[in-house]
Amino acid sequence: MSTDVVNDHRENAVRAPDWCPLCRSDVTVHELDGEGLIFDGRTTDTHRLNETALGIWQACDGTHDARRIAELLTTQFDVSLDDAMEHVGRFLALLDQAGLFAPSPLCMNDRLER
Amino acid sequence: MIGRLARQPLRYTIGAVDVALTTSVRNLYRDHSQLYEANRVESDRKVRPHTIQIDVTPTPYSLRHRRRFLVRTGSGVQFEPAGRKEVLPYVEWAVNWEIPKAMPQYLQLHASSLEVDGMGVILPGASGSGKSTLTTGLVASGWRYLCDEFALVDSRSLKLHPYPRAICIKQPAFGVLESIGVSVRGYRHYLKGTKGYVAFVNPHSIRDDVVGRPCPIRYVVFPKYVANVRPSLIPISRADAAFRLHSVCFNLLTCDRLALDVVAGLIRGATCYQLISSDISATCDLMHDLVSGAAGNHAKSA
Repeated sequence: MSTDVVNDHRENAVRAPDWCPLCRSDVTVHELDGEGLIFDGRTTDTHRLNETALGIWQACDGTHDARRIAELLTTQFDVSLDDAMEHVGRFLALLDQAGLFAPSPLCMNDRLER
Repeated sequence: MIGRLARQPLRYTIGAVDVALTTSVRNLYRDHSQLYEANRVESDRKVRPHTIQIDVTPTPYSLRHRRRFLVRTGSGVQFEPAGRKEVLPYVEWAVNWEIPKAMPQYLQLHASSLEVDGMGVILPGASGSGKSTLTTGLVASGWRYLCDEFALVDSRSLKLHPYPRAICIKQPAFGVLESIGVSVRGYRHYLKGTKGYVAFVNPHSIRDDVVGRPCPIRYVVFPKYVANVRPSLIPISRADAAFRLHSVCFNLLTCDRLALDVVAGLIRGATCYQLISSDISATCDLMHDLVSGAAGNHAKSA
């Protein structure tokens, strides 16, 4: 994904199971033939996403938790829900470690319901 | 005579880059004038704001210390080559150093750049990847030369612009170029840091009408030299190419437009390859086939 991983306090943080990741709006994203490039101006890191990773990134809109994102993957690719959950979990952890998510203590859907 | 030389700068327009060199070092004055004779401009012409100013003076003679030379840029950067054979490489280096600061309207990539039939071709790669040798070979076979060190990409139009500086050839490549009729025997050899002995080839000595015009980039080809293999082209994705191009930007943070926006824009119009280069003639033939659309038989799947 990226050759430079940001090392900060999020490295060892554990997210709640119902955490709904929200992409930072201040990063630059380009889609090229189904793959993605993300540039983080804060760290000057550049991240390259393959087709699957780009799909996960685009689902991180603050309304989908990891399970929901994995379910979306199973509709696009021939993969079991358990495998998708594992891949999504690992990838979200990498993105989180790189500092690419905005603070989102509550899932947006939960916030609307409350 | 030398005193007059020191007062009057040598002024050049080298494609998109303006340079003003002031020096009292007679050998440097002679060598630089010969290399850039075709680029000289009148010294009384108005100096443009982005002109790169370079000043070279020798330190005073001393019985205790070896004489050195001071190569200074207009922005205050200073190099101190020790011997005469190192001075010209440092002057070239000083100009390269200043270009990102002086010309933020261009995204500057570490790549050779050429033009063929109105199409821009860039060869990004680290030192030692063979891009200067391949560039010289392609120029000798009819391609137009833009630069052996930089791809200058206009951040708005995304066009490739020329900076046809003297081509720097490392000693191990001398024989390779001789084999295709590009002689470096008439050129002085210089010492360029850890790269060893080099020669600077005036591109206008290869053939007339050698400098290309601004053009859109149509091919991005990453060369990697491997001895004794058949040259081949491996298609790579635009995202892969853009990621690699972004990592070889000289002015990632000082370009007047976001570098990734420029890279993504230019890559959308380009086809991208990894080139395994080998024998220079065979590699040039492969590149000819690529731009003429006949490279399908040579391209392997990624």
